[in-house]
Amino acid sequence: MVRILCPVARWLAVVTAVVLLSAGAAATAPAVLFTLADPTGDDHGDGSLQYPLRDDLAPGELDLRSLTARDEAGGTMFEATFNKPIRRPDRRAIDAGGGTLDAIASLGFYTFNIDIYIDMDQRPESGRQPLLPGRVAEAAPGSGWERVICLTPRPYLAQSQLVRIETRAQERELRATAPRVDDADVDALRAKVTAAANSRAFFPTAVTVVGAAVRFFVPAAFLGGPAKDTWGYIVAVSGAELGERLDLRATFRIGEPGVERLMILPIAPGRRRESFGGGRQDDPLQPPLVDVIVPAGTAQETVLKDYDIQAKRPVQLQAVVPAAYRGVASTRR
Amino acid sequence: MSRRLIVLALAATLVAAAAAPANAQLTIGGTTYTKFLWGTDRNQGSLYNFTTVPEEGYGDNGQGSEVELLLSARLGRKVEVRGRLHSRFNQNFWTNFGGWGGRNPSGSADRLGPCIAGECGEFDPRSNQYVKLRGVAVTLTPGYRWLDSATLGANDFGQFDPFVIGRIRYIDRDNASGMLFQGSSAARKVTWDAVRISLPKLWAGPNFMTGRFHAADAAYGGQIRVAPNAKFDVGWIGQYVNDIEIDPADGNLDDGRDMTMRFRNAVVGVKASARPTSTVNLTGQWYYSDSQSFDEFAPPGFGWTSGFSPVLAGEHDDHTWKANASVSDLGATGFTLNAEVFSIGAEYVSMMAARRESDVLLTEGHDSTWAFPGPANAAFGVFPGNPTRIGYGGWDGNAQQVATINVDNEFSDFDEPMAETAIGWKGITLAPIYSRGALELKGEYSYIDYNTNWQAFGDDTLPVNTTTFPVHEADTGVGHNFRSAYAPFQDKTTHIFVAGANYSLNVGRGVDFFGKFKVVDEEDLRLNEARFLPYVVGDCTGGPCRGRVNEYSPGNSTSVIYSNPSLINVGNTTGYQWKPFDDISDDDRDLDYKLMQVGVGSQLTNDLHGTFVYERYKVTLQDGNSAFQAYNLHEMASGDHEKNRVILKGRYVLQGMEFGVQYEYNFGTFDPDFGSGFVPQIADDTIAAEHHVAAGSRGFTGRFGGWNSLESRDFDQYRLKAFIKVQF
Repeated sequence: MVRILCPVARWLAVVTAVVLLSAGAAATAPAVLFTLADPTGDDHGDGSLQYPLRDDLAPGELDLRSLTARDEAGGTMFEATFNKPIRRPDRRAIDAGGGTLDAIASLGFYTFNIDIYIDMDQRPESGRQPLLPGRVAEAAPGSGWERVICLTPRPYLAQSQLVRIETRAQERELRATAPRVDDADVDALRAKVTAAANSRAFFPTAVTVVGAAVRFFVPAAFLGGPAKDTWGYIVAVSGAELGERLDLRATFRIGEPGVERLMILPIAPGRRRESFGGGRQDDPLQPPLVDVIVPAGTAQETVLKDYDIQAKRPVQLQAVVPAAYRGVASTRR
Repeated sequence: MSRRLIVLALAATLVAAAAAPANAQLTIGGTTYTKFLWGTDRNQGSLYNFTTVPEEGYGDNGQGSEVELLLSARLGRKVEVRGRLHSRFNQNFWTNFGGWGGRNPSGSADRLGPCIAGECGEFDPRSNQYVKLRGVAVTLTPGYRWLDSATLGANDFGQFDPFVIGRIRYIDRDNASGMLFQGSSAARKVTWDAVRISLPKLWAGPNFMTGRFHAADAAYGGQIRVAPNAKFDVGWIGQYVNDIEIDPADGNLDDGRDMTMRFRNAVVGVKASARPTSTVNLTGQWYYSDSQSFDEFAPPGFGWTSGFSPVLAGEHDDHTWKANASVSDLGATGFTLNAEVFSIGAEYVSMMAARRESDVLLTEGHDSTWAFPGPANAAFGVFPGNPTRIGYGGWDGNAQQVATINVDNEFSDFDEPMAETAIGWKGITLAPIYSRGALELKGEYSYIDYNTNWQAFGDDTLPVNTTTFPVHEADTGVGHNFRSAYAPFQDKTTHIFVAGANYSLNVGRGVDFFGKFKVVDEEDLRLNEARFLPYVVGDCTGGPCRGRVNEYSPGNSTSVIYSNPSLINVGNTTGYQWKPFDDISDDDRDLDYKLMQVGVGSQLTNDLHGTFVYERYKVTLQDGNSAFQAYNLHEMASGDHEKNRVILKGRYVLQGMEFGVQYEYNFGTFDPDFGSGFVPQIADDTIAAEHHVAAGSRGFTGRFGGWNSLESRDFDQYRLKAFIKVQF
């Protein structure tokens, strides 16, 4: 016992020093730029979404309570707080190759994605409307977004996947219109898509999980400075899908390609282990979004049910401008 | 799989979809794995690194592939059917050239032993590339208010509790089948699950079997969880295992046949958690188990050297409980404290508790690189023909603790987590975490005492060489033998101390530096009362031992374990073959264990991640002397160990394909110190050949004829695993 006391004492001394220093630092914590609050108990999408029949994803775990942005050196630190502690990946082997969950989801979380779409100019004709692939929703007119931050457990894979999905879509368009498509044309298209995607979408890799909160850093270079409370934000929480499947129909060009999903757990009728349950039968426009921050006076359930299959109009999400709620701390919407 | 085959499969999908009702849907997906193993142990029994299953192979060399076709048919909104067609790596080496030819085991009258290494080719399913139907289940979601779903068929049953009914994996995660009903009410504030699991006859009973009559054996389980609000929930769980046999006393078949019990096991539990604030999380769990095996069909006990069973013999009951508290981001300093107090009963038995892929305790526990008693990870290594199976490097990382002795690390590779039993453990763990920006500091201090600390298996009226507690490999060596919870004599305490740090440097795509320092201080006095010494005091003084047995109770003596040595002559020296067991310190264990790990990982490109790890273990171990002989069964590990591990990992992702590789260089030394009081012998040519030691080297022959070398050993081993995974 005595022989471990020396290293223990040394370690405790170091930790104590670091904690005391950080306590001092906490007194001068970075300035809060804004906080968006969200009601608890609304992690059910449009009201019918049910958690998968899994033992590692339970109601409340994807229930967003707030999103806070802080000004930090070199960028913005976002902090999302959930209703329950964030489930940490363990060393469970998850495939026959022996890959363990903590090696594949190395950022310290694995059950959710958080999308933050930012409408920087709030001009009606500006920005993109479609959200990231698989969200089955778009920004409402007037909320078109210029930047998106997607916190996901496998950011590099997501980034590559986004480029691949967009390249594939644009290649299909090109092949439908161009008299001939050479490999060079595809390469050029891919380079163009990659540049555009990288300037438009950011997948945080500096991530810290503490209890029920996840903090992720977004560099100023991506947003052109710190996040502003005068911008509009669409914030959506979804379930994360860690794996990627090769779309054989797209790869071998057999029939129509399947629905593209960027690391998102889908919704399906009934109850399942591999997807959210409570989906409507033959309903391609029901969004698999679990929790969304919506403007004051509107109900999430109403917003997420407002789509039209006949008109092929998906759900439209309105951006929330924090400055509009300035002075109303932790505004409940 | 060729492109043509894939196109055909897709065409079949489209045809099937076209023929089905309008709202029906048939989905075909799949996964292919290709694995490359290479290692200097030069084993080729199968394409898995490890197994203890008799007549199964293990190996560290070879290339092979397996494919899994996932079939899922949705017949409208309420009915879904799924299944898989899956081949196995097993002994399907690429060198089998498609699995043809080979030795016919029935024709050779088994003269050549079991089929391993693919040598039986097309005559053995394990080497003829068979594809097996697996995971067939029908899921009903009838839309009743009281029933959410009913799943009939294969399942991993992971929705219960690792202390009671855990995630079940053998080869697959859904080998087990049963009927699972799940329901809810009050807007899912109340949920319930009820299950009947057909009892796996491969392992779910005494002696790893369920007897001759298995078809009606089952485990019944249920749980209810009530979560009135987000701050509090409480749940109750129970299971009952019913392993029955046809009553041999019932000779009248005309009125049907009576049944009688082989093994039964009941477990009940309650657990609650509270989250009074967003940063405080409190949980508590308590379980009670009762188990009984019946002598007519199950062994009444085990020899202390040969106790292999997933459950205890006879009737036992015990409690298990633990409580956790977690305070996150204390005072917004980034400081989080996790604490756990726990006690897992020595006689706690849950037949269906998780066997692996769960971690029921907060502590890191022991390190998986020291998985078996001998310095090279060999079990029973003092006897010829028992080399290490997993290799000197063992498994990677620290072990996961499970609440059963029915631990299963079968058919795993070195890069997978190893599970260890925590039966009998009680103690406290404090695990602080400090996070600030890119820096994370983590620590652990655990104090572990044992409910299995006892003398003569806890009952000194009984002989010590038969017991109702299966000892498996017995707990000796540097680490904790993964399924050994019981020893005839134990008086053990363990302190585990871990300090670790991670730092992410924001350069390029980020560079992650990590490291940890771990200390384990463990003492086990084992036999700690003189009345248990095998022979009377002075029995061996001044010449040959006289064999005057010391009885700790009438008719019972430890001399059945620790017999006296003979006097032998080696050269001009006369002395004992091993030291007589005449002092209670002869079997004492004192472990001074240090691990230092440093590593760096980086996302080199969007698709490629690389990691480098270096680990250095420095261990000084006293694990009994030559009187103890590692229970006469295993290579002794007393002495100084230095082990080094250099690990390189890479993972590359390309359009749904994942390539992974892990390369390890494991090297080190072992300088034995088996004490004094005996005359070292010299290995002759026979011993040298059988035990892989140099002729003329020093050692001693133990009670059961095993050879323990007294020479220093140098280890120098390489191994590699690479895989390609494609999901479609």
